[in-house]
Amino acid sequence: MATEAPVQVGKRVLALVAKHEPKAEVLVGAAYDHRTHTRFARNEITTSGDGDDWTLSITVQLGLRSATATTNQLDPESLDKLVQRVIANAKLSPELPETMPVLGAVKVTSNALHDPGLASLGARARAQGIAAALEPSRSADLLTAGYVEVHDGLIARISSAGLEVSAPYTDASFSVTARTKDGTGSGWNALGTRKRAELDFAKVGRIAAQKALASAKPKTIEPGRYTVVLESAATADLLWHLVTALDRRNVDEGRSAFVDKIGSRVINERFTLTSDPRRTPMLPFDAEGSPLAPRTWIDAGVLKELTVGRYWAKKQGIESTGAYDGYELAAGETAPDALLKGIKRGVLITRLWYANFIDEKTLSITALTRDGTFLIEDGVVTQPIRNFRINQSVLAAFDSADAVGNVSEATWSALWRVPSIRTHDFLLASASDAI
Amino acid sequence: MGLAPALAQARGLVTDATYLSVVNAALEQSKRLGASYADVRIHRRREETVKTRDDHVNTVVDIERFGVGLRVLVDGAWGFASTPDVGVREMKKLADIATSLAKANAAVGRRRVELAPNPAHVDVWQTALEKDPFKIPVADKAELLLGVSERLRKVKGVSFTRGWISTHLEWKLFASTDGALIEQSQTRIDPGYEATAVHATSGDFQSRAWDGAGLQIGWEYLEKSGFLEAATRVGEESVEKLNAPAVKPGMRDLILDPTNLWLTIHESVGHPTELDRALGYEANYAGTSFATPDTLGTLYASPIVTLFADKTTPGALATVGYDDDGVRTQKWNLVDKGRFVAYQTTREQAGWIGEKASRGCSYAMDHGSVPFQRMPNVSLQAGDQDLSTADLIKATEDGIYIRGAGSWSIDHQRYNFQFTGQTFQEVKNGKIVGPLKDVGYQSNSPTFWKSCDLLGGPSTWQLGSAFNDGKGEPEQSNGVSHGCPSARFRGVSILNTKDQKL
Repeated sequence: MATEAPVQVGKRVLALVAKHEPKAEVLVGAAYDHRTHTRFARNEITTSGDGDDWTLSITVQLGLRSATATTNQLDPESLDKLVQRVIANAKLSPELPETMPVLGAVKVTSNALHDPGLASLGARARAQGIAAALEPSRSADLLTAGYVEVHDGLIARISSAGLEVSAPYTDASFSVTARTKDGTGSGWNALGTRKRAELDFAKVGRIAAQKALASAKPKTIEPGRYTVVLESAATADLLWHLVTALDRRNVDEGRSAFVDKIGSRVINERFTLTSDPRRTPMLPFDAEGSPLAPRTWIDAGVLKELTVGRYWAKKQGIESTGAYDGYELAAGETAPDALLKGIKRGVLITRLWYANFIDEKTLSITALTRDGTFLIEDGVVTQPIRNFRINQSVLAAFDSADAVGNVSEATWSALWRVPSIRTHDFLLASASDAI
Repeated sequence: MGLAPALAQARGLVTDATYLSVVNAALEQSKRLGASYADVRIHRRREETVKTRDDHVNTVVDIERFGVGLRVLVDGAWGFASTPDVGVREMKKLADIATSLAKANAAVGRRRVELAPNPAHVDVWQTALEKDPFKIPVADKAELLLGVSERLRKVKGVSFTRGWISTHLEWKLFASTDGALIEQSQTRIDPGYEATAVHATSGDFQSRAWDGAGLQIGWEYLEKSGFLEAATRVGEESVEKLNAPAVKPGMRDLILDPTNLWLTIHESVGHPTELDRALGYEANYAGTSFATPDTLGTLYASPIVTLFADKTTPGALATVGYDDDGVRTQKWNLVDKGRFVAYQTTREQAGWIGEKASRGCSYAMDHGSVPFQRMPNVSLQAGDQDLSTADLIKATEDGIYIRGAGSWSIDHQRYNFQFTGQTFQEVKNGKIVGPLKDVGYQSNSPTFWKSCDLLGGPSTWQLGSAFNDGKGEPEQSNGVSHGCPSARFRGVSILNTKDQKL
């Protein structure tokens, strides 16, 4: 546990800056995090660790001159030296026209991000969870690798203008990759959660093992445009790239896929994308301490809103949104099995790997399928197939969708809730030999 | 333990005596609690960054992390613990946590960790530099970047610019129960800038970034590298690219400049030859490798290709005196005249493939991270003949010459890759006939390397770098460089990145 509350650390910093430079505006970000983890591969634990650390970020503003320093050393002597260095850097800094006044007191809606049960999950419990996850793989003679990580922390933002917000949190992620010993099959599953009760080790291990066995000895099919069913993790991989383009400044500057698109339909009307701290377990404030109100970015396919920072908002005469890291793509009405119905010949994709933009104007990415790719014939999965590289416009993929799964779920992060989808003309551009 | 007098006789940095007490306490306490081996790192990272956006500075930030990480072996299993509190008193608790974790792991484990033998080095090592970049005032860095921005913005058609200079310090004191005591300091610079041109009517936009590499070097690099002087050309090339015709997909010969090829080496040679990947230890995240131990001795590339690992290359980001197992760094071939001959290893891994000593590839990015196998600098040897890039172009009937690194992607066993670049010049009958845009190239690692038929000579050889190579869980970031000459590859699949077709 932290020996001092982050808010108190922040107040110590404010007092130090005031002592050396009374006229300075100051924003302090103080966070304590205790991280424990266990890693395993080839069916046994390889490493485990336990560490705690601080991240203390101090921004000093003298008019438009500004500097920021970050440290993890909180003893009085180190802090005093650092504060003096930040002040000196701010004085030496050129004017930063994008500097905004630090925020004063704001109202933040608290949400429950901390679970004592998860915070107390120790090495023994992690090992027991891993053993439960590995059981299906051991009985099927699979080789597994995976990782569990647990955070227990407290984060705060404090300013010289009266801002004081803080939130305790827990966070965990668990993932398993199971592979057949002949190297022809591989399966994966993962979850992210802030609650111990949702950390279902056995379920993650079971799904990974099932996918590994089902994907063994894959057949080769030709690259081409296919109807695909993207499981929620694959949908989330696509969505992440769409979300990075929700930036008002880039749109206003003419370098975005969303130029002149606000108020227009940009993807299929089946999709609504929101950020809501009341529904998604994200922090209720951002790095500057801005409170995060519920937002609807895309409503029934229509682009409604873009993220905008405080400087650009002021320049454009609009309201800033704050910066969000949690998103929910609303569930549809189609049961998972029903997503496959009606597909004459298509592909089921478990997840994507190594995605990267190849063209930001068309919001096109390249990526690879991985850990469970299957042929769909006449509405059912018939056989495993080899992996593909995709080259695909994210907008086109979401626009061509005609069915959305009825569960929006967290996969690799508790902060992203995404359903499975069915879409068409999805380009599986070239074959990958990877399994 | 008598460590302090030993280090005092070494040349270079002088360690704070307090820290010697800390590492001694950590090691003694670990042994007392049953550790058969322990190593401890006091690790400081500092990163100072100045950024510009268009005509102004928008970021001045200084980040520092300091702390101690303790790794122990008990009954053949690892345990690790870390803290930012670097004091003798804290080491008792740290050793308690680390040894407890190791004992818990040993109770459920079957494979015992065995470390390859290694001499107990007592030494110091630091980056060779003339001017410490941390002593250059922020205002001077801002002035240089604003000068770059001014030159870029004077180019007609350039719409936006951004620039950055990051300076990185990594200092560590390593000690082990084997008797090692090593103090090292690495200083690196990551400078760069980019111009973006936006088409007034089509809405297309294209960017061009400076081709220079981040290096382990002092401020003198920025005075001698042509950083400022290249700005006008970079700006002009962003506009030229915007107005260039889009590439037509097909099979073409590729001439890759070192500023592009380094990243392809990183992904298609650097990662596949990591032993932990090849044996499944990274399967859950970074993936595995097509280069499995049974392929040692087989053809990986054409016979003109020799690829070597080298943690001693001057100026390269991964260059250091000793790795985080305390192993003296070295140079060795991974691919020798086309044949796959060796892996990257650590002390723990050497015995897995019957080798008697580590290759010195252990690294942890900070005090809170567990050391594991990370990529050394992996480079392509220059050709025997001193061919220039112009010679390669002259010898090519129908191809594309690519400079600068762009988008990248590769599958989890490192077969299928796809890259773009910064500039693309069409080559016809031995001559550059004009620029292209929206070019990507896609291939399969072994196929690609076997298609290499011409190498530039030593005069074309240069380093490219990545500061944030990710691997492991929890993910760690590693700085690494790759040297290479210009090279030609025959019959590679070219795609148009804006118009996705088969």
